[in-house]
Amino acid sequence: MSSTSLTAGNMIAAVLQWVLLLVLLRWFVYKPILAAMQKRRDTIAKQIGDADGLKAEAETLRREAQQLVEQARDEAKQVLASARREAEDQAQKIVEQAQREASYRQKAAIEEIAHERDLALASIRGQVADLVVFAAGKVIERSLTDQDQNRYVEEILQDAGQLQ
Amino acid sequence: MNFSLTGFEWPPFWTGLVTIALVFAFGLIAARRASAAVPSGSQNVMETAIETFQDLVGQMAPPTLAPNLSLLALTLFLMLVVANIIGLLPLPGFGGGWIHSPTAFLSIPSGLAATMFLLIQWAGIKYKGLGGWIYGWVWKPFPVVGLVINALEQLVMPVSLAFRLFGNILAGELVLRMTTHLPHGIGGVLTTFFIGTLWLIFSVVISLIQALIFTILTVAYMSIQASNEH
Repeated sequence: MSSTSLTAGNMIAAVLQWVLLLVLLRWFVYKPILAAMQKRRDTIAKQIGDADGLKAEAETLRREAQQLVEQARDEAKQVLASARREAEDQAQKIVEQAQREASYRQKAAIEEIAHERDLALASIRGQVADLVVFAAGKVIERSLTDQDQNRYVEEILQDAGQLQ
Repeated sequence: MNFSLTGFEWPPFWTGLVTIALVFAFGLIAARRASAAVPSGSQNVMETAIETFQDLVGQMAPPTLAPNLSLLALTLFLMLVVANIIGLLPLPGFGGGWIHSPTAFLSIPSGLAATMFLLIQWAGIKYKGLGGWIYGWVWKPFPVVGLVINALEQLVMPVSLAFRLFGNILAGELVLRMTTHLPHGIGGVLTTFFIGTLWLIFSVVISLIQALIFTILTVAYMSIQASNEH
């Protein structure tokens, strides 16, 4: 065992073995593994980029959706308000019409009552005249002509009217 | 210690081959279905190792050097870890006796350290230019005298790399074998078991640390050479 001797052959052989290992590893091990690592790095970078893009897109969509919701809310509010206004108008109109009708009917009723009263008064007046003439005739016993009678009746009626 | 141009030791050559075969096999398993989806098991381990070394080397080396240097360092580290631990396994060695780590033979860490020295100088030439590299060798920190200082510094570096690794691994193996030569009888067996186990754990940790030190020091020296301000 001469492990402390320096032999040129062994020195060169060791170096050649190392170089051989270097070449083998470089070609069959480092190259594919480094390629895989690089590919993974690229994939991750790309995925991060994609994620950023998707995030921006999602943000845009979210804003759009929010806008739509707000628009819909405004519209609903408008529809509700206009419906309420319309209903109020309608109610007002109905009430006004009812009042108008009521006052018209009242007026008509008053007019009719007045008319009936006039008629009744006229008829009473005629009957009273007849009665008076009849009674006066009975009293005077044909002392008067028809013309005198009529004039007389008028005078009485005028007195009667002043009495009223 | 003696130097031989013609001599050759076969055991570290074979264990070295086994080492790179094991590392390569693990690498193949890890890269077998390298997928860009969620990684699992061995791929995860390999990815973690690569990223750890990319971070580690990226902190020291210039950006243009770091990607390749990190893979080079990782390969060195994986090879040294397996090489250091292989000698702790209870396996028969090539050429009789127990198996020995290839790094427990001085030639192997020395050859690697010499290569690291050359790589470090290459980094200096590449990043400072030939003129800048020579200037750095001869003129820093003092004109002309700097050459002596730099020669010492630069030459001590690979020697210390080689001997640190070699010494640690060889010592770990020797002490581990020694625990099997404790007194016979029940007391000896128990002592062997406990001390041996403790030393085995310690040696595994040492194996990892020494592999890391060899690798990180190389990267550090290279980064210093490659940086312009020095």
